[in-house]
Amino acid sequence: MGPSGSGKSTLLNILGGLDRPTAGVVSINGTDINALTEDGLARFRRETIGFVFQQSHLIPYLDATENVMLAQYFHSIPDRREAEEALGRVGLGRRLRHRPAQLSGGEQQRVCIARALINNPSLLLADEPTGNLDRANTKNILELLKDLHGQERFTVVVVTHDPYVSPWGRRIISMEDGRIIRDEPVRS
Amino acid sequence: MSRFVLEALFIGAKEGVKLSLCVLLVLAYLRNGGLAYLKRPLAAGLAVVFLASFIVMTVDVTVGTRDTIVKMIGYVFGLFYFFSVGALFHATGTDLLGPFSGIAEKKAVLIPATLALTILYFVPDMAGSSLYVTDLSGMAGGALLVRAAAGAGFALSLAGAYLLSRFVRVDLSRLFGLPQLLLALALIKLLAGGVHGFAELSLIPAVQAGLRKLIHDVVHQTFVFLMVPDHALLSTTTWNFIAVLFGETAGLWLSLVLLSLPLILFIVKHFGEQVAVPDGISVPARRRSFVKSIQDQRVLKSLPVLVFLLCIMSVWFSQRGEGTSGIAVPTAVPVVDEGGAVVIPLQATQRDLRDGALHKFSLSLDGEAVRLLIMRKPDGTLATCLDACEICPPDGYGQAREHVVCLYCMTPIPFDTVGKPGGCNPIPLPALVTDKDVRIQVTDIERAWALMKSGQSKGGGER
Repeated sequence: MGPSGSGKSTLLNILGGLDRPTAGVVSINGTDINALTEDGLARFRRETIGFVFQQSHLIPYLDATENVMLAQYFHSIPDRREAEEALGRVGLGRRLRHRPAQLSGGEQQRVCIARALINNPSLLLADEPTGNLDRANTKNILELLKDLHGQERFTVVVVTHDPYVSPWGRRIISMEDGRIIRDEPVRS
Repeated sequence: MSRFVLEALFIGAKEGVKLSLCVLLVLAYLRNGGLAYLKRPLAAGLAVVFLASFIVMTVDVTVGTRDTIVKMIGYVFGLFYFFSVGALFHATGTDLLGPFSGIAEKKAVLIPATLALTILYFVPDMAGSSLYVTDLSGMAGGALLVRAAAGAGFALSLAGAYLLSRFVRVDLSRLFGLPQLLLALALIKLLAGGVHGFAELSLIPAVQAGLRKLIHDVVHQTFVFLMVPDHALLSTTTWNFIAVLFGETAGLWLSLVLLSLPLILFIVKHFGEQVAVPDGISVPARRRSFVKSIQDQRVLKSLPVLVFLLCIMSVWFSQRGEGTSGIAVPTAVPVVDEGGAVVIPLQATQRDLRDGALHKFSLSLDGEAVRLLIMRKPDGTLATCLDACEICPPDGYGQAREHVVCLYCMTPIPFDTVGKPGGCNPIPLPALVTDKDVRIQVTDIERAWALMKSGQSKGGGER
């Protein structure tokens, strides 16, 4: 958590292997991802990490199911039934054939979560996942993430500047000017 | 002389490249498959191969042995091809071995099998090339230099392959299982020298000669080879009636089906079959990863099969030649024995031996009409031969647009190989070519005619 320009997204990109740090070590499940080759890093991202961004980045001419299947395709092979089940788990069982433009912002973000989780990642990185949503939809998405986290046992790292979002986690790391200024557990 | 030396150098180099490629592939397979103990039988087999080649080069080989060696090239190709197809199907889970499953994992089987296959694979080609080099040496007046050139070419190829293998490390293990290895070996044999022998067996027919050729080469010759007595069912007359029903090119297309269908069936089966995921993998993404990895392996291991299919079709189309309608057969001009030689003027009325067309002449030898053949080759030299080869009955040759064609088995012979010995080539005759004429010794003609007749006598049957 931190204000705009504090380095949250940069940190997330480094954690996800999208950017390489100029110094330091990034170790995920014992793997030093800086030591991986480009191919190795791509494979690591494909098999270990799921991403959710503020913008949905869904393919506009593919429907919800096909957008999820696209992530399966780049991971291994597409499986329509599994993609539909994943969309069912995020509450979109009746929106399978809808294209992004036919979905609300909250629904689009649910598709993104289904897409991010379809390959069973051990780490989900979410960069302002509720940044474009109203309060009601923000609450729905956070509840969904919390439920899925409980069911499927993966680590979630959410970047946000919204004080409403941060208490949903278990640990808050606050940043300012590229530095961590606070790291504390959330008091329930 | 220099032409023979150069040719011998290339033949030696070609055999060296082929041997190196095969041995490197086999060694890589043995290394990756934990079968290093098979290196010894492989080496022993190669030693036998070298010994056989040496013997063939130094001993006067009979016509029958020559013929067997040529035929072996094709048969060994067929053996490896059908072995590999069987192994491919076995690899997809089809149980072809039944109670003998697992036999290929026993040392007591693998060691003698490796030795036998090494000998079987290399001996026909190496011995065939040795014979050819010996013939070249004979044409060059028995020059040792020709044989030395072949040896040098062979040694250079081996040295090049050794250096390449030291500096370039290529892991082909993802492409090659045992079936793919066998297929690759068959392909190397086909491309590096087996095509001609292969065509002679009619597995790739030389021309569209229809069902008659199929009967003769596939059915009749196979039965003769297996020493099975002739049978009315196999007679040409019987099958000619069948040919009327099935059309003239049935044999040609049947051979293509015979060669390509097993591979196509393999590819269909290989890709059509569902991947069985082990029960222990329950996470959907992991299951998909597993299926993808198996599919990737299937694609990689199908690549050699696809390459083979492509090559077999290319060879088939390039070898099928053309029908008899486009073949010109000149009338033989009678010539006589003039004091122990036949003298043919380079230029006569309406004839010029250097015009690139096929010219035929006929000489009476003990009451038999023996035909001679003369034509200018692309390099400008004149080829002088008997109008017959060592294998077929002496029906002679015709001239097509890009090659001459054996009128009996319809095998196409490129213009530049006319005048070279062996196989389906017309039997070459030494000749003295002057500014005015071509002189061929009658004794040479008699010797070549006797060679042709002894070749015919060993086969027996329909001639």
